[in-house]
Amino acid sequence: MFDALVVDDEEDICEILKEELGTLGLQVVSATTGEAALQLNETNEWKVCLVDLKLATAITGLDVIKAIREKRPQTIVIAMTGYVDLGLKQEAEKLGVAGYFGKPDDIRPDVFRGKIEAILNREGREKK
Amino acid sequence: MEILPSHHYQFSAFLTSLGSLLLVILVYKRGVDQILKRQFALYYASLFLWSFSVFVTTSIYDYSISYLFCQTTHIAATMIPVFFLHFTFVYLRRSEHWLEKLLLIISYLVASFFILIIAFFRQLFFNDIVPKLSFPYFPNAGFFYTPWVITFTIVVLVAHLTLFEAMLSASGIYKKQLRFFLFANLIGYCGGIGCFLPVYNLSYFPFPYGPYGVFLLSLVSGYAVLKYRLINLQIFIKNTIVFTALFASTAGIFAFVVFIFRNVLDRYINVNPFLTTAVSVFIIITIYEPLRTFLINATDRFLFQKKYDYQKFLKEASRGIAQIESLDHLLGLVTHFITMRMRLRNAAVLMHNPKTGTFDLRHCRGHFPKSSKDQHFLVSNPLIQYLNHEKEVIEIEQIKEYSQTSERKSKSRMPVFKGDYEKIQIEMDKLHAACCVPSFLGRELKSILILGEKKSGDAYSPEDLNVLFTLAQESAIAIENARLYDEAINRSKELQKINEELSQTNQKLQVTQASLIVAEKNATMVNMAKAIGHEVNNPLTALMLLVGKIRRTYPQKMVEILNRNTASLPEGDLQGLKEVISEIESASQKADRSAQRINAVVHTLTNILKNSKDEVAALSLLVLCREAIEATRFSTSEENLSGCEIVQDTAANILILGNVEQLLQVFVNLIKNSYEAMGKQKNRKIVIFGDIDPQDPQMARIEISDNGPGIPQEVLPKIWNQGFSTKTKKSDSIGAAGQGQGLFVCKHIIESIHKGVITVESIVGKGTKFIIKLPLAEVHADV
Repeated sequence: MFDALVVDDEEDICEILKEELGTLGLQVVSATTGEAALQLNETNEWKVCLVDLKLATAITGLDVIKAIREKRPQTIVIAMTGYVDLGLKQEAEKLGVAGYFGKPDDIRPDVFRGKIEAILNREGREKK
Repeated sequence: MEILPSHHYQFSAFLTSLGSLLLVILVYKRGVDQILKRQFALYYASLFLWSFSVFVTTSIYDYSISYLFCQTTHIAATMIPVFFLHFTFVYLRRSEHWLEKLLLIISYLVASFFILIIAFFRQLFFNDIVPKLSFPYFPNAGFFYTPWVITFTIVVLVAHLTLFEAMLSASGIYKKQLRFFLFANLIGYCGGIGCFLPVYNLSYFPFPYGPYGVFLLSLVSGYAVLKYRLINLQIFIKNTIVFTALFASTAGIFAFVVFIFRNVLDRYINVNPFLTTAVSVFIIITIYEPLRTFLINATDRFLFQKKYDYQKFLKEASRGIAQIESLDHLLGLVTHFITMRMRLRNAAVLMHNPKTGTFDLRHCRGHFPKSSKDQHFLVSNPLIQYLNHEKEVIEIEQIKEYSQTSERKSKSRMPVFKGDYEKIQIEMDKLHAACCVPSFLGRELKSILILGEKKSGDAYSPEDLNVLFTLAQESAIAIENARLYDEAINRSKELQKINEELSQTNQKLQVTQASLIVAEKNATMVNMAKAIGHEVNNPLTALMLLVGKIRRTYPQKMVEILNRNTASLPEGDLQGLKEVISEIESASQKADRSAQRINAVVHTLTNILKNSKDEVAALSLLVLCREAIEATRFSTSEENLSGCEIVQDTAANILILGNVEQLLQVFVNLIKNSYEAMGKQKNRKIVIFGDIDPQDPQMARIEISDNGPGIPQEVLPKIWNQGFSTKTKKSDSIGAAGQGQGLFVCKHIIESIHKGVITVESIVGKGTKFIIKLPLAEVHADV
């Protein structure tokens, strides 16, 4: 059973983020396609998901976020993007993402862990 | 000398015979309707015969001659009522009805019977002729005399009753004619019947003035003929009348002078007959000219209604017409002039419209039926057809006559035109027209004057029609000129309007194109930024993360492992490994720095181009300028603004209101232009200055200046034009380099979208300065 999901079509990024999330004591799994992400979503109860909005496949990052938010509304979803598209950002916000990470600045190791912890703490408080 | 009844008879009978004879000649020679004029002539011929015979009978002292003329007097008197009746029927167009026909036949038969009696059995008619009541001889009534008088009276009564009845149901000029004719005959017959009184030895009134009544009859009839065209006369009879009157006056003067000398002066002095003649000739010569002028004026005034004025009328009209250019004005003048001078109820002009081929009602004056105002008359309209065919003035009374004449199928003087006169009459009635005057140019019917009735109710005289026709022909050229002039003016107005529309459309198109270019450029830049964001950022992220890991984690781990195994390694290898590790460290550090730099550039670009979708926001001028420089570096690709000094002199705290992408586009365009204009010259320098505009504290002022070759003064105004470019054309797509869209679009963005101002100053050889003024954000926030 995994409690964290990383979706990015760049495998290297998935590996690094898996490692980083692993240090927080999470069981992390990654997917490089939207399809794989949806499949994983069927069987796992996520604590947190990091989804790149731009995926090379037919199913986009927004689709994945939508599916996760519908099936598991408790999940903390963080959107990632290499390019700040204001329209896309608005749509992601409508779906209820907890954070919006720009690549590469927000996922550099020295920044990433702090940001994730901050979001997890904030969301955890709100749920309580 | 005592005036005896016989003198009255002689005098009035003579005048009557003269008048009747003149009328007969006049009508017979100049009348239009054959049957009508024949009957009229017969009627007046019998009157003439009667009056002449009366004159002779009452003047001659010879029994047998007197008796003979007494017979002719009564033969003529027998014919008078019958011809009167016949004329009346013809005139009222009733001669074809069976009852009238029967009446006429009976009258003629009875008259023939009496004529036979008078001519061959005069003893049955007269009881001899005897001197009485101052007459040398006058008849006494015989056996048939009284029945004859009764018959006479009955026929006259029938004719009068018929006339009276017809008059009640008639209208217009016809009614006027009838009234006159009836009136004339009533007087005439009252007097005429008075003539019989001496036969029965009665000497009551109207005796001895009866024959004057007959004279009045011929006088009034003559007046009706001339003025109301009882019989349609087509000429001008003035000369005849003037001549007759002159002749009579001359003779009268001569007789008067001779009479005075012989009867009055003779008693006191003995006068030589030669002197008498000389005096009368002298008097005649002296008064001849003034008398002639007086007679002409008198006939003009009483019979021909100011013919004298018409020459002035024509002259004035043509003078006015020649001075006017506008068609409406001209038609207004013509109708005004005619209605005022001829005193008409209404007037209008039908103009030929060359576009539709119809005749349109152009100018109406006075009372006019509203329904006909928008009417267009086709060329096939009977009225137009008639005018086109006859090229003559058309007059309602004439048309009425023609339409009835054609019913009778008579061979009178009809026009050649074989149209439906009744329809013409209807058309004219619709237009309230009493007369229509065509106006021709060449052979073409150009316009038609539609003239209503005269206010006086008088008919149009032949003279009127002539003058109007002349006027219409004279004005044709002027009207055509005015029409062409108007047409030219209208055409030029239309052209001007089209031109204006075209230039407006052109302006709109330019703006649209500029907007399109703005949108397209924005889209291109945004798409580029998106591509960079996705395609560069992902591998870059991986690269940075990995390099960071290499830098921070692996050398440290390697050093730890080395430190644990220091003893097991040879000194040289240990040293070598340590060196490798530090090289890895420094290389990865360098790689990390390079990745950071890439990231910085990409970050700048992608952050600038956020696809703001034309949103307007408060922007820091400082940041905007900085970003613009970065974006220019990026878009000048490999050159990267190298070899050019860029000085940014922008105040830090200025916020302007605008759209990032669009303003960036402008700035990049201007910086790039400057850079490219300087080419390969030495000491290239671009200064970007930004501060609050010293002239207007609500605006920010941005100056982008270079020290390039500058723009020549004559080229300067053209640089904003669409399509202006100094670069060689590279691509056909709109907005591409060398298309001359850059500055045009810049102006559009600054002035149309941002409500700012963009200007340029340039000195050849020294450099160019673009000045942009944009509204400050604070000002708007305060509002």
